Amino acid sequence: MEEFDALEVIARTKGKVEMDNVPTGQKLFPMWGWLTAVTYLLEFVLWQVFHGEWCLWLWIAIPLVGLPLMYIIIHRDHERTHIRTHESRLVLDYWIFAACVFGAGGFLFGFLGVYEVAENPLICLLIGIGAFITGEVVRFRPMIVGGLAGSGLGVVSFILQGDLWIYQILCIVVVAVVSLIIPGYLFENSLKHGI
Amino acid sequence: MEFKDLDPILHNELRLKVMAALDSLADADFVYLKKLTKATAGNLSVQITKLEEAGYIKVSRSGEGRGSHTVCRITPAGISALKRYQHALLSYFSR
Repeated sequence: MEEFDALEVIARTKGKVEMDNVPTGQKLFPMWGWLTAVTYLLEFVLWQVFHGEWCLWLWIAIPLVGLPLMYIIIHRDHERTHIRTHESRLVLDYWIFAACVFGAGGFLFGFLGVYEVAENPLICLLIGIGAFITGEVVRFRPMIVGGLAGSGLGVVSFILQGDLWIYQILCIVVVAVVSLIIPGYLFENSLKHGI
Repeated sequence: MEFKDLDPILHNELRLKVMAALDSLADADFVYLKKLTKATAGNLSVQITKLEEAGYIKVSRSGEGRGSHTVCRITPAGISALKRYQHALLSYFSR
């Protein structure tokens, strides 16, 4: 093999890999979005009806349902593409980190009984930042905008303290719609139509 | 005029293709590498083992027989070796 062939082999192979690099995980955004929005909406309604602290533990349904679904979606994607890119790993690592913070924070704030102070705005921020990072990685503007809007709403929801704290839960519902559901479907649609 | 030695592990077209592909990815499975390189399963398997023995890639195997799944990932030593190899090649042209 000639030396210039070797460089060509490297360049050509990298080019082919780039061509095979199809985005994956597009079903994850709507899945997490719907799960989050429905769960927190239910939490809000139940709180209005019963005013029991048990209503605020409904969030546990999100990881219990979402994690197995996420595993199935990722596994199917991997079976289809046979590859994992650095970008998809970075995005997945962030969402795993966010899920850990969400879970740990949920238990910590829940047991300390201070969930009304920072837990819900923190969830909004984690979702918003995650959507922003994912949007930057997959270069999809609606996701970037949705992420920024979600993060902004997260900051705003810090203001909802005292008697208004329960509306922080509605902020999470809105963030789930703005940062996950809408950009998720738009992204899926753009891939289908090759935009 | 002194030329840098080329790494004999990488100075093979199939092994170089595998390394270049894995350098661009977090990981790839055997099915993808076979399709990409258009190599036979036997030949690819042998070259992957050579790269693994050199410490350039990490191979995780799960299951057995037809249902087995092999995933390859480049190691930090592999990334450095590929860089050194490319620099060595480029140094030929800069003289």
